[in-house]
Amino acid sequence: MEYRITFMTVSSSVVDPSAIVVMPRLPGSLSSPADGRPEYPSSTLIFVKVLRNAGYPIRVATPEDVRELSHHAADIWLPVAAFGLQVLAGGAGNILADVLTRVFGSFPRRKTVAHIQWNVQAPDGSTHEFTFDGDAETAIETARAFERSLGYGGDEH
Amino acid sequence: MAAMSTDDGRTRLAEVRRKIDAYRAHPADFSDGDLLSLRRDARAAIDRLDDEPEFGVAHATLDEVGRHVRRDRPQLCVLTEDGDNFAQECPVALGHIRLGFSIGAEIEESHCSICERDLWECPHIPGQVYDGQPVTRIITKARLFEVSLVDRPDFPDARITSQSIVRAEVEDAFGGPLPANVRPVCDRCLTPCPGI
Repeated sequence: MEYRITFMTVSSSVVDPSAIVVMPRLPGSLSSPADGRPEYPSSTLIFVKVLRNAGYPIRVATPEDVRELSHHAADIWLPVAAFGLQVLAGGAGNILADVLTRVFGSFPRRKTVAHIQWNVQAPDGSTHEFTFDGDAETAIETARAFERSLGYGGDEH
Repeated sequence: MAAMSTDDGRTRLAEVRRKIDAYRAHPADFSDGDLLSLRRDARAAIDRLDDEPEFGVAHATLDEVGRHVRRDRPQLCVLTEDGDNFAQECPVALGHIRLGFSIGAEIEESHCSICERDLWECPHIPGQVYDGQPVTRIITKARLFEVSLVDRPDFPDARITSQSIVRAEVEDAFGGPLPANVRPVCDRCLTPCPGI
């Protein structure tokens, strides 16, 4: 299956270094009522519960107002999230892949196309965007390569 | 639940294949209603097997059911009257349109299928199995804000169920106005399948 991937360096860091923060935004081209309220894709519930259950420090940016929008296509639209460097440190470059493996395991098998839009903090504190649209299996390998390209899993880790 | 849809598609496909074999052996044992059900089941199978290895078999099976029905019971292939026009409502023909409907909705109230509590507060995770019971999110209140046509709908049966055919097209094929006692019969399944 074809896929699209983007590695982009983000100029300013908006990432909590100690947590995974789910941002109140819809990924990709998902439609919304556009009334200005914080909005999350309905995958947010699974994403948060699976990762919390696995011991990851994860939180939702606006816990008092988690408005979930459900789009019933057989694709996995993961929530937009920011990964802090302390979450990734010591993970031998496999944290993002582990996150995806765990989360995909809770989705139906028919959902084989994944859409991902994450900000990821590198060991030097700079923030980089990981965008992926394509086959879920490929997403896992691509996420691992991306994380290692930032310097995680190298000699210093 | 969609995870079950794939397996459900395989089960349905196997059942359709079994019924085709039974029909070949004893066609008189099958009522018109049985064949209409078989057509619907063949579509339900392919609608659950997108992107799966069995998709090709499901497609061939759908065509095979269509051929049997059209050859042996053409009265089941009469186009439906739809006001002044006609409508194609055959699951075989419409099953070749690989599109479905996707809704966009704001989830306002939902609960866990296991404990009936708010899923944000209970320990169960949708998609996982506890004591043999799969956890699903039961949505009891939602606000719809859009409907889209997509190639892979989450609900496999959310498909096109009727397609309009203007009377002029049918009358062109007939060669003039249709007499009152003439009904147009779809011949799609008498010719090789043009593909999905």
